[in-house]
Amino acid sequence: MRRFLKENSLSLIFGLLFLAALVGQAFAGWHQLNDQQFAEGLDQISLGRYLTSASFAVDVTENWQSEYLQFLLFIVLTVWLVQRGSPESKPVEHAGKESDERQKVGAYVRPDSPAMARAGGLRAALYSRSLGIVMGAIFVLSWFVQSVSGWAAYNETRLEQLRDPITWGAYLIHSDFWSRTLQNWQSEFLAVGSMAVFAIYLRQRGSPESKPVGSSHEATGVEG
Amino acid sequence: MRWWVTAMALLLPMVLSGCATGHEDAVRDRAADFQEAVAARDWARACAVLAPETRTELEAAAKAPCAEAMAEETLPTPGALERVDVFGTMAEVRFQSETMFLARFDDGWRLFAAGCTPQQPKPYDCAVHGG
Repeated sequence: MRRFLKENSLSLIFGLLFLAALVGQAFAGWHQLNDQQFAEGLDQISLGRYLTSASFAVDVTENWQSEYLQFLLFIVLTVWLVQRGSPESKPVEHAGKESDERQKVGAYVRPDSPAMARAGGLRAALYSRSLGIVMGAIFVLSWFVQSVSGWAAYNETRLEQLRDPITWGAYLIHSDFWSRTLQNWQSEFLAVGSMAVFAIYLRQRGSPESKPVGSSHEATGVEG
Repeated sequence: MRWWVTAMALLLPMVLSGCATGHEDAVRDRAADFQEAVAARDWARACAVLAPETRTELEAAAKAPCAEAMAEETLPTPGALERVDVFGTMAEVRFQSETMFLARFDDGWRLFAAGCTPQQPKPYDCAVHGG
């Protein structure tokens, strides 16, 4: 058991942090919404009703979609794009999909390669893109849920303001949808881009996201 | 595939929260209650379905009890029902010549604003409203 916890501590701790933050968001968002309800002379809502409300759903999914988009882009674009000196980048000369030999596919599969990689053909091609496909699918699904729940939450506000609701199609080109979307995207792009550049010159001893402390600023694709 | 089931369990309520809420009938019935009370000039009954804030605003503006204040209001004849929209705790019922806004309370839907006429692009102008 202790060995399992130690060997999986990264995913376990992030799983717990996620749940703790989600619970915190649920309580904070619930109180925030009830504060607005009070100001507008409307009834207080229960935590259960808040957790199934469009307000909670849009607040959760607008962040989910941007995080998955960030990692999708980072995973896919780093196939071709490089940053000299960054541990987040491959060596400049390896830009691209790389040879079968380096990727251990085709004639170069090993006995311990995953079954899908050993299968070859369409299955291996699909498996070669499976990380991007799954991250992309979660991004699209989260963004879709954001659009539906954001539309419902925005229309609830419009009705409180004695205005007609708008259609989902109109919401997709509305400033509320794009403001929620782009305010998340810009911060994700900034964080990823700045980390790739900071890691050229700065170090975090022991972290695989950093080069070894004594590595040259020129060393690319070297993780500590 | 267990992660997929977990993801769907988390996402489905979120999708459903934005879709049809199943409250349309209750909203339509409450709007009809109000309409019938106004048509019968049963002001006490009309006041009983107003949201608390709406009732308070009406009484404060008229400096009179709700039933007396309602009797002074000129509410349009609504005409045929055109559509009902429900989003979360708010709803809109559109008739041919009047629109009503309702809010959801613990004991059901109540009139948040009534006797509303459009003045695009501004919000509706309502004879009776709270907030």
